[in-house]
Amino acid sequence: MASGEATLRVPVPDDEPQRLEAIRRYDVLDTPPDGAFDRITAVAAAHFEVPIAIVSIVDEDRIWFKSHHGIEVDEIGRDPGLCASAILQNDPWIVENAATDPRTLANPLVAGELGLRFYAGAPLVTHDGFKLGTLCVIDVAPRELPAQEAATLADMAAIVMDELELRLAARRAIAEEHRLRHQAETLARSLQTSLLPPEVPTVEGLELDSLYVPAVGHEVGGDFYDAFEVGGANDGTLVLAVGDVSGKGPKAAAVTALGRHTVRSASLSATAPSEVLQTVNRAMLLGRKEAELEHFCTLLLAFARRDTDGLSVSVASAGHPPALVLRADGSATQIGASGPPAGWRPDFSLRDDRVQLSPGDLLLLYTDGLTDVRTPEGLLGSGGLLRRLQDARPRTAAGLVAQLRELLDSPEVTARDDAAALALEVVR
Amino acid sequence: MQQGFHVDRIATDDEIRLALRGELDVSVVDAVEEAVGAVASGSRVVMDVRDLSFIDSSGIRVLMSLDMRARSEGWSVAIEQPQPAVRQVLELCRIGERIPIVDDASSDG
Repeated sequence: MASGEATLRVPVPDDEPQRLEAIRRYDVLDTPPDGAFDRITAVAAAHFEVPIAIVSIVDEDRIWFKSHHGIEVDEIGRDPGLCASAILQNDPWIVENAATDPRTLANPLVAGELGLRFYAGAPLVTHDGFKLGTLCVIDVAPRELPAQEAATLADMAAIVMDELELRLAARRAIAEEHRLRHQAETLARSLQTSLLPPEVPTVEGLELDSLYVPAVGHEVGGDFYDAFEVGGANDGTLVLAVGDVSGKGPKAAAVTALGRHTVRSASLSATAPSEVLQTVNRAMLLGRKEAELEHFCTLLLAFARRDTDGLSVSVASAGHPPALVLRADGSATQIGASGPPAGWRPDFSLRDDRVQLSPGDLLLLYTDGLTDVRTPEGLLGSGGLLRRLQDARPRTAAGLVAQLRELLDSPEVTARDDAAALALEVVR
Repeated sequence: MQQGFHVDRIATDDEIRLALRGELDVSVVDAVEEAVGAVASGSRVVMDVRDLSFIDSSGIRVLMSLDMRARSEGWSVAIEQPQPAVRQVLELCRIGERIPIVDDASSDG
């Protein structure tokens, strides 16, 4: 049993600022009544056979009741000092007869209308040692509390504290869940933005059109295309890229984003498309373990520059199907001898192929989703696509893309993968 | 989508022979990697593809990752008798520069 001075002024705990901080952390003050705490005070009152049981939180200038059984008061001033005294020690603070106890005889709760005689309060101690308040039982008649019963009161206070910890943990888990969800959504949005088919630019003297058809029922596809004009050292160069990353899912999506961004940045200074593909290969091999092949990327890249005769195009390919050239006169060729796919091996030799396009000529870059399609005659293949387009003889970039769309939409044709394509027309 | 892909595994002392039949695409790559399984150092893995009618980029990925495993674990891989459609894709990806492509004259595959 604690000894004390007969005074209304109860000293504040040494760690008061931190203690108040802990109360804020548990965010319990001025919250609505809660069944769990009301059940504990009801059980405490019944067990100790007292009229009043309270879960109190000792705030800076008041004592707020989270639960009050047998008394219709929500809070009292901190000064009378019963609960404020109880939080100064680790064991239950007990006054068996307040009318004669020098610590409390002048207390207004004792001398006043309530006529409090018996008070026993066990501190609510957080896991890190702060005493937030008490579970206290009160009677208007003096009584004794054996040590065993004081221990029971301390156990009940621990149950109150468990409830508070549980609520704090739940609140933190929800906050963490919200934070993670927000983070994931932000990441998904930025990945999606970088994977979505871009708008093709408007370039004078050229018409550009594109096609992107994700495979039905698949995740974000591995096919991508990009078309952009370069400033700086390569001023006036139009860069066309079509690629295919093996596999699906977030890792493949990250490889796709890496490929596209590397193409964009490397194209600023490279003198030929093969140089850009070398950089992409290095970027993809960076940090990879020797025997690990998670994803690789096939990529077809074209640099196009206007000249007096039309358009000068150089093409390099990393394991990608060649580009198709459809001439105004109806002839057709493939261009872009292939090197190995990017992201497989460090020795990576590539060649740049050149082709001169005249007004009325078309250039098509595509992924194998357009040729790995089942037709009544078997797999279409790149030869099949070439013949089909030669027969159809599209005159414009839009007409060429329309042909491809018609192919994929045909009920006789079964596509098995994503398909992407970029079509370019040299305007007459 | 997959039409009757099948893989047979015949293992002898120093050789694992995988006979692939049908179309090798993303839906069956796990089955192929599983069929390869553990390979002892110094042995040889033969991918017999004479009855393979199609290979897509995920199939190519299986071959490239076999090549990388073989180099790091000290065994070898070979590809036997690809059909023209498969050969075209192998050539596109320059698989032959790292994995020998063998056309066995004793068979008319």
